[in-house]
Amino acid sequence: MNEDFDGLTSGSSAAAGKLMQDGISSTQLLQMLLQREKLLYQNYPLSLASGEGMIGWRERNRECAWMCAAAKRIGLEMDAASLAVSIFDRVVTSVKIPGKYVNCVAVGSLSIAKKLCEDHEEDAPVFLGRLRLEYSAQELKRMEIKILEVLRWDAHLPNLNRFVECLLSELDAAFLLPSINFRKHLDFLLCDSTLTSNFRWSVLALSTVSLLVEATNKHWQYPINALARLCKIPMSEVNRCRVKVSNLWSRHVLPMPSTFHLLADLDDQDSDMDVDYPLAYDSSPHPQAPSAEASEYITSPAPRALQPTPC
Amino acid sequence: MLSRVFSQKGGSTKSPISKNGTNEMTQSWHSNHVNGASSGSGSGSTPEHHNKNIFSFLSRQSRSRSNNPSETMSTVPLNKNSPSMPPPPSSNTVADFTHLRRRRPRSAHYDPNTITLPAKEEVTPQDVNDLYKRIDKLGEGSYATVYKCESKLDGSIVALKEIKLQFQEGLPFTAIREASLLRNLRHANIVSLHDIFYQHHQLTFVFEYMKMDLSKYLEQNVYGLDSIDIKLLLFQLLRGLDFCHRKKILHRDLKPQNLLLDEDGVLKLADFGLARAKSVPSRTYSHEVVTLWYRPPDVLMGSTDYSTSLDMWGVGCIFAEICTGAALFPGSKDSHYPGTKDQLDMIFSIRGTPDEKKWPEVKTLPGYTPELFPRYRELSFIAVNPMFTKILKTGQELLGMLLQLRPESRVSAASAMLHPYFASFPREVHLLAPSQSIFRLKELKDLRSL
Repeated sequence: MNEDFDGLTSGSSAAAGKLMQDGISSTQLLQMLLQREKLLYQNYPLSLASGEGMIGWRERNRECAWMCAAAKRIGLEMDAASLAVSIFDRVVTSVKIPGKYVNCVAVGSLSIAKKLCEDHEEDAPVFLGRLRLEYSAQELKRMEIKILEVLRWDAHLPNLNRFVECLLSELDAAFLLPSINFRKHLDFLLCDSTLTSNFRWSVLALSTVSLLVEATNKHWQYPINALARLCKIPMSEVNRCRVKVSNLWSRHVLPMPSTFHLLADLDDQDSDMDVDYPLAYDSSPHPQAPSAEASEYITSPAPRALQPTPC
Repeated sequence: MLSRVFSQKGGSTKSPISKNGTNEMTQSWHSNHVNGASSGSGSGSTPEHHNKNIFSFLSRQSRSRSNNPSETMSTVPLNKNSPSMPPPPSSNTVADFTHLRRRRPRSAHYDPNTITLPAKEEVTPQDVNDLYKRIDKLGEGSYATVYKCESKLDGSIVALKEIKLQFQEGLPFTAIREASLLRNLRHANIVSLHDIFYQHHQLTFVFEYMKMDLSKYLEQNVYGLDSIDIKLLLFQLLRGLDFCHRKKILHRDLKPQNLLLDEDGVLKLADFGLARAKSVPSRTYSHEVVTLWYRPPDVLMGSTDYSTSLDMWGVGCIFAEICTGAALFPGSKDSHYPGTKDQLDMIFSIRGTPDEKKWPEVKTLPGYTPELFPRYRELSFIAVNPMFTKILKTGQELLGMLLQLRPESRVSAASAMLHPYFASFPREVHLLAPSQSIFRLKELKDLRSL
């Protein structure tokens, strides 16, 4: 077991940084993300604007659960789901959101994330139809514009998935990220405001990676400590966070991620993609959206690929 | 020389944006924010909470699943932002402000004295047509129209890109990508996006003005450029691209039309509509990117697992083109796999047929059909076109490194800048800040004027 994961035990190599596939040091990218995060997220814990009829954390969690489930339903990768949640959180912590509009904000956030992360263009009516939503294309466009204005058009926000990707690359373990089952773990984390409002994405990511590494190697402390020093994150904060993350997964009866479990899943990705898993959060008297209730796989015409600008 | 050619076009039109102009143009970033004194960079601070409901355009009965009848009834009477309700009287305004102050979360940067409702109410977005005067139409396509414009405030010249928004469609992905990516790409060799307006059902991007694109410049130099100009332009292209790649951003549509030049010979990357931030290694992307003539062979054969090497092939094609004045691989078809044989044939006829021993991964590409490709041997660039003598052996060597068939073998932008081909450049060129042009160095500035 240890021979297959020598990279996980090499603290010094983690500190030195590894060249990623395209020759860019993962350390460089990690530093860029940390700088961006520091600029964009200066005040913790996060808070929602209070007021009559405004959303609370419960509504936030519910919409994040909807986004994660919707992203999976229409075949989006984890990066799109993670970015959608990051955009959504940025908006709801920046402006007041009446409860009756919050789902539209979630739809707009997911749409923007999809356009940034996916290569296949899809008309707005098709996107809305696949999710069984009754908003019009015009309403979606106006919501997208509003969201982008709040973000100052800076929609490529640091997000959980991006940090996890970088940290795993530092440990030469990026191959673990695409696992479908690991996605469940990240989804539950994204949808828990007690974690996302109290810890930065980098801390959440490092805590997640530490749990993953712990499951695969008994000497997990060494590389994790090295990463914490690299990111300038106190280990005390990491430890507090990872306990909460671990408890979250335990509450939802999720198995702790292990190498066998994650890698075995890679061979069954096609079949797993057809399985919908419920994300149960804050049962609400409000009727669930049709897309959340639908269990069958939604098919649609093949999306048009992006085209380069004409000569 | 670049400077003389441009000067013959009617004199310099370069108008650096004044400090006031910059402030005014960035004003619209904050037109909907309470704190009008926010930093111009935008990303340096957390946006302030708004008292105003910015989503009031959804005024009809919401059909979202978050709504229920009882909630609607309880909410409607209190919705002061409803279009059907008159604005609150001044006494209510004061009361509302007090309520906001009590509930507003405090932070180290919060100062209630800087926020007044009257000031907020008076802020109105400026109309782009009131700010800029159109001078000339620079280009038009199915996606957008670009105008040369003059600022009515300070007389500076900018380029306005008006993006067409169809009524029934969502926001174009190209617009979101371009804006979002350029917000984090501030570099001397990347076009600067000054401002964004959404008015009159139209999206308008305000870019810095550049004299022309490289394609138009090549039309004026049918035999290619002078050797020193080639070197200066190529280095700037590599410099801007390296900055993108270090941020793991792929341009994915490099071609002369998307490289802009100013009167001083500064080159800038433009059109980031197809660009994207690279994700996890296992992520696959569309293989229908990059204009055909600049598309690498691995992508032509269906690879969707590309990386920065995609852009580097494009650099090689452009390098060759500015040497000879003509495209190196001008394929005539751009459709299905069978149609791309023509493009592949052109590539292989110069670079040789793929060698499975040197490029074992080629066998896994869906479009690789070795039995259909004629056997070609790699040609020297001199044999292809005698004009490649301009770049000497070092330049030809670098060109070969850029145009490697195997993507993993292509030189990176960072490594290319260190190639001996650029040995005549001062070492300080590698120490410049990202926002500084290479012509800040006297040695290079003098080279330009030769």
